[in-house]
Amino acid sequence: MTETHPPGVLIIGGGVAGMAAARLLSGFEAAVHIVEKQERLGGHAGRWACMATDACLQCGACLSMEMADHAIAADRVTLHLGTRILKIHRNENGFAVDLDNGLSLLVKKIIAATGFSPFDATRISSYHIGEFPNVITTAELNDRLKGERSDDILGKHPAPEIAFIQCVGSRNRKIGADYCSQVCCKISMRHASKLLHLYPEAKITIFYMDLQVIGKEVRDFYDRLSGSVELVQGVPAEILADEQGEKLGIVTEDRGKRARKARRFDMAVLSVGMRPAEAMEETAGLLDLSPNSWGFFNTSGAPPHAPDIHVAGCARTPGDILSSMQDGRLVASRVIRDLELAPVSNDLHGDSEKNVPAVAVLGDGPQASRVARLVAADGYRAWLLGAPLQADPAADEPVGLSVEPNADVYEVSGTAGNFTVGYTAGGRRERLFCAAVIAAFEPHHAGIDAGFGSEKAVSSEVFSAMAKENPENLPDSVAIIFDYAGHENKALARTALEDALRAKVAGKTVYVIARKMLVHKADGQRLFDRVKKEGIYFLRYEDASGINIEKTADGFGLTVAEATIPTDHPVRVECGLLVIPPQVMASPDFPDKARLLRQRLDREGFLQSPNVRHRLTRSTRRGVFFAGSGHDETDVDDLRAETEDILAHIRALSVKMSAAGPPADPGVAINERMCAKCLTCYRICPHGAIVLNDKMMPQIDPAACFSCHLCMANCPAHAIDSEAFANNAFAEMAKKDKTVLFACERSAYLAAEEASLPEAVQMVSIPCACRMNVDVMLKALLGGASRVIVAGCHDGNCRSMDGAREAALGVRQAHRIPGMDESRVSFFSAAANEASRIRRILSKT
Amino acid sequence: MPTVEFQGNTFNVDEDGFIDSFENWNKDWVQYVKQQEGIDELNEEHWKVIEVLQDYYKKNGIAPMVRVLSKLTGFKLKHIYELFPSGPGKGACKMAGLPKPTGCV
Amino acid sequence: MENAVINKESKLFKLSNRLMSDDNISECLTCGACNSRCTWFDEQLEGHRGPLPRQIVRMAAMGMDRGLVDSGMLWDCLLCNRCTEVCPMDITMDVVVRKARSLDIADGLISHDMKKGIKTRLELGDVNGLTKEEFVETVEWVSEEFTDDMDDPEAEIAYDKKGAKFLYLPNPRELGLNLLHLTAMGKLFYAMKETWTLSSAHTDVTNWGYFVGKDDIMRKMALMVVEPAEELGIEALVLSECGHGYHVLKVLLEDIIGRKPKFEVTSIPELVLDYAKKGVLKFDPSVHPYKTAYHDPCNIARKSGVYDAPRELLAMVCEGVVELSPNREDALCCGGGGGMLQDSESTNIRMVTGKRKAEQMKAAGPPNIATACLSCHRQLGELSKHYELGVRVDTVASMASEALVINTGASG
Repeated sequence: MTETHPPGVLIIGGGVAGMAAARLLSGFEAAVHIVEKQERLGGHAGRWACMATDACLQCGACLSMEMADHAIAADRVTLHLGTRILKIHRNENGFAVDLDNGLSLLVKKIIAATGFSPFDATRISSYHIGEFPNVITTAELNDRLKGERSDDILGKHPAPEIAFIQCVGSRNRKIGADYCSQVCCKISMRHASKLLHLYPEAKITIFYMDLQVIGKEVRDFYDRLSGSVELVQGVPAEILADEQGEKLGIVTEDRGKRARKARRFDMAVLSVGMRPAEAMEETAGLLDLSPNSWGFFNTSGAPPHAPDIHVAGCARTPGDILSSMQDGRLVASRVIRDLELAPVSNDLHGDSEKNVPAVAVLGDGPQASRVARLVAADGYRAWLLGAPLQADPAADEPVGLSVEPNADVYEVSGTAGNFTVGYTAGGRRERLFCAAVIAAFEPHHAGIDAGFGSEKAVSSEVFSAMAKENPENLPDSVAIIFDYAGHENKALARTALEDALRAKVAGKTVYVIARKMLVHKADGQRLFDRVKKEGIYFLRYEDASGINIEKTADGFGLTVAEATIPTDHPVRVECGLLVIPPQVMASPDFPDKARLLRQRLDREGFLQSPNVRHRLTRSTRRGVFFAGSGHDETDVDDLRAETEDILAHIRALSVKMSAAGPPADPGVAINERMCAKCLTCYRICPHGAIVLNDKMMPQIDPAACFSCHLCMANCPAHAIDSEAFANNAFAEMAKKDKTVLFACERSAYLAAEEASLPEAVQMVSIPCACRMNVDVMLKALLGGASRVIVAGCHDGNCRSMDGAREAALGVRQAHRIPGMDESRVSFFSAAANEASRIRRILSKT
Repeated sequence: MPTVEFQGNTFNVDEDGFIDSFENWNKDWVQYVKQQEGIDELNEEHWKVIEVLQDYYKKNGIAPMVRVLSKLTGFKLKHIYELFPSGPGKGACKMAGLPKPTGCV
Repeated sequence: MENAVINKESKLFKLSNRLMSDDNISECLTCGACNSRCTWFDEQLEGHRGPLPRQIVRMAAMGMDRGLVDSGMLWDCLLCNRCTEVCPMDITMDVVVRKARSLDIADGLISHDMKKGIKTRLELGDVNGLTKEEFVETVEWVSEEFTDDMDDPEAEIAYDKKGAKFLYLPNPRELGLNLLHLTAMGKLFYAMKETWTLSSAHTDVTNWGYFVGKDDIMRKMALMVVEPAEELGIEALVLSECGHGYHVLKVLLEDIIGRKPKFEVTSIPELVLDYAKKGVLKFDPSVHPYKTAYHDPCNIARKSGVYDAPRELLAMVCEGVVELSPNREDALCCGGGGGMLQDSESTNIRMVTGKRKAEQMKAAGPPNIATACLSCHRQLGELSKHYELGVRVDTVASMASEALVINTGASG
């Protein structure tokens, strides 16, 4: 067999992980094949319903539609849908792969992105799924929401009572699934929000084991949800038919009492966990891979015995949509590196050493140091600005890494591939030119200084040092309280449990007192199990008022209203050391950092908005990235994955930067003759794509522009030209007497394409809803349209941040025009995966 | 303690419906239990069993074993069940006003 | 109440974390699944809403022996293990509760009847206090009637017969008030054409040491069965239809006595099924011209894993088996388990603990139910009466005996 050129890469599975891998690979000289047994791309995410309420809830499912679109259009990606693999034969050149469509592929690398299967809830007979029509799984609820069929069950109840039952098929040693599936709590919290949005009178109860409130987007909406949804610790294992009719009965503990009570619901939703894909064994056989005890191919990187086989996404470990996409990119990035794949049309890339792009890592602590090391180790010129390089005995001496520990960065200007970072260091003013910028700032850790005034009360970082260095010297008893001052942080919780084990091994009595135990990662559950098994006392409390802390001669005496036993048995704990993990909070200087990077903060004040168009690591500004706990809830492993992900993005970026031909045309340009130099465009561009040229005129950098047209819609001098969406074009676009739907190409347009539109509707794809200011809406009406409807992304989902809001504003302005019939101009938001909803909305026109 | 009203009598009974005390037994009680047990007609043989049980109980303070009952009445085991479908304990002893049997019964 | 202090020296904690299996109460996830599963619950009755398994496990895990004993939950528990069935950590609830019952400070909670029965069982081999002389007289008398009934001088109910193939271990009821059951079982052995015997040394399948959780008593009682049986040189010990007796002597026996017995252990329904499958036993199902629902005794089904054998046998002796819902692993306890039925003062509470069972029987519709445990049998019958369900309750083996076709004469 001969070498094939370009080298082939087989991706098994067309879910989000596989598609993300394909998307990155498509910019490089490789023949990518996606083999998917279903007839369509998207996997589970592709069937997932949009969870948006008044705003996007940041699940990322809609992204799968756009990714599928891209994969279909990509030149070097061949899709084999409805296809199975018959045989894979390894030879000296790679693999020969026989497909059941008669084709045979020769590939160098295989990416197994075979996904997961939801837990089969019929295995737990006491839930009576399939028997009671109003007991459904999250998957079924999803299908009903997506198909707008939730009324089948809930429509007849004016105030439906709905129960969510978590951990069905997860965290269960008996059924061989002693791991947390990572996603179910988030799914149920989103589902609950969605149902409340659809049925405002609904009464929703989530029965949970330990609600996994992890991640910036979830922490934020958990706080809002907890006020409107009843959250009950304790997961019922049985649903009863209620003798009084169609209701379901659930018997639960009457909290705090020595008694039980019956609850009644109109619908119960089983939050089913993630299990290995049904075809897991077939995959293992084809690829000669060994699954772990749970059935996942839990191997980071290619297994030693199969160096050219990589596993990505939920086939490797349970994860949500965004992390699976990230995993797909990481793996593709490794494939690109391993095969030394050249970017498509590469005149510059690989040309010479001097063109190795420089990457600036901005930070103020150890995370930036770690990121900079990883960047340098990947072959980039790395600059660590603002933090010292931390010693790392495990790592090689970094090559190509420059450190300015005292740098004070005051400027990040320019665009991707062409940034200028200005900083002062020791009185010097310096400028650094770089291709990309990574912001890895440290958050603020609020320790427990207030209130205790005793050296026997310490934050977990102090405890950690003691437990690692001299556990014998710890006091005889140690109590650790989680979740006490606010949300627990997954990384700190994990560290504290590991330190608790150290103390226990040293013979100390240890109490872990928690409201909800975070058990993130595949082995999180096992760590928690080990803690208990080793004899560390685990106490559960309901809220902070249930813990009374008093000073004693030897430390502290805690009186805990233990949540699993009657309240007339408050538990007394005496400890010589009280440990409380600090609250991880936004640093007070984050607003400054955000201004520096021209980015927004999230609701809690952390860097980076929770917008899924940019997460996990990107920003609205191409080439500016975020890493570490200053922007999201991350741990050390996440930091590494984030950095690898960023490097994958930079690889893709370098494709654009080095492309020989003209840059991708954003279709907008500033007309210098008409420009009034008011710099409105410069200020409002969400992507930082407008730069000042040598003549100090604003100019659109095509490499940075996302073509949202916000600048054009807002330019007071009408000095911005657009090829496709000029102001005057709108009158011509509109067909006479039609309802013209101007739909965002990334959301409503994709959904509407799947829905069959009524005759009376004419659809026009627009790059972003923000193009639709009041002027062009009126122009479309003047052109003969009977009505104008603008459809943009849900709030918080716009790639250009506020596109939908801008359009909605334009509609309101139109309504204020004297004599305007309000019904002629309207706006709605929709996601790419809301075909049914769009069909319904438009059917009313 | 629950009570039973029957034909102008009030009987105190335990939770299993046995009469509280042998002293309070009378023939109306027998009629009551007969009704409860669904026995159509009491014949001489029923009365014989009742008498034997009561005599034995008066002498020994406990109910006789089934074997002893069989011996004293001359009835075969099967026949006793035919007379008292609930068996010698729940049927015959109850009717005779003896306390309920305890243990593994 | 005073604060409960976590007691690191808790006797219960030590007992419960030294279990035979891998489970360990301190591993409890506090998921609360168990709380939804307790068989009994009466919404209308304050104070009758069932024990809370999680509170029991958690108090044990924190060493709150006294609090747990005072909670009133220990003897409310039916030891049915419905909660264990759904425990993600496989914490075996009946073991936890029995360990707690075994604490010295819990002795006062043991019912009078239970104490008395244990005493006489240890002294005489029979919980009802049957002496050896009474046993001999009773068995000889019943045997005579049996010979007459079978109309065969060879038909007998023997005791202490060395070299017999089977030793039948009856329920104490069968030697007391329910002698007819013994003759019915005798008929089955007779038709098997195998040698079988009773033993005068131990007359009883029960082991109330199980209910009080005291290992030493359980062991003594088990040895009272095992050693004389070994002396008789039997092949198999055949247990009467008794739930906890089956669980103790079939499943727990080796752990209790620390060795394998020198015989097989089986139960009368399983043995009868074997002989029916071999074609030795034949039944006329038209004797019971109706369908019968099978009630899974917790001790035999969930706790010992026997679900199918009684159903197979039942299907041969009536028109067919129907199912109660829920059944098998999820079956509801009759409400008489855990030592409840062994307390003669428990009748009122048993009608509460069995309320869901009664509702289930009512919902199921068929008027006929069979089970394979004489305790369940009694409780179900009493439920039927109390709730006026009109359900006919039988045991599988007695129905088999009724349906048995005995070929008299040489043709058999």
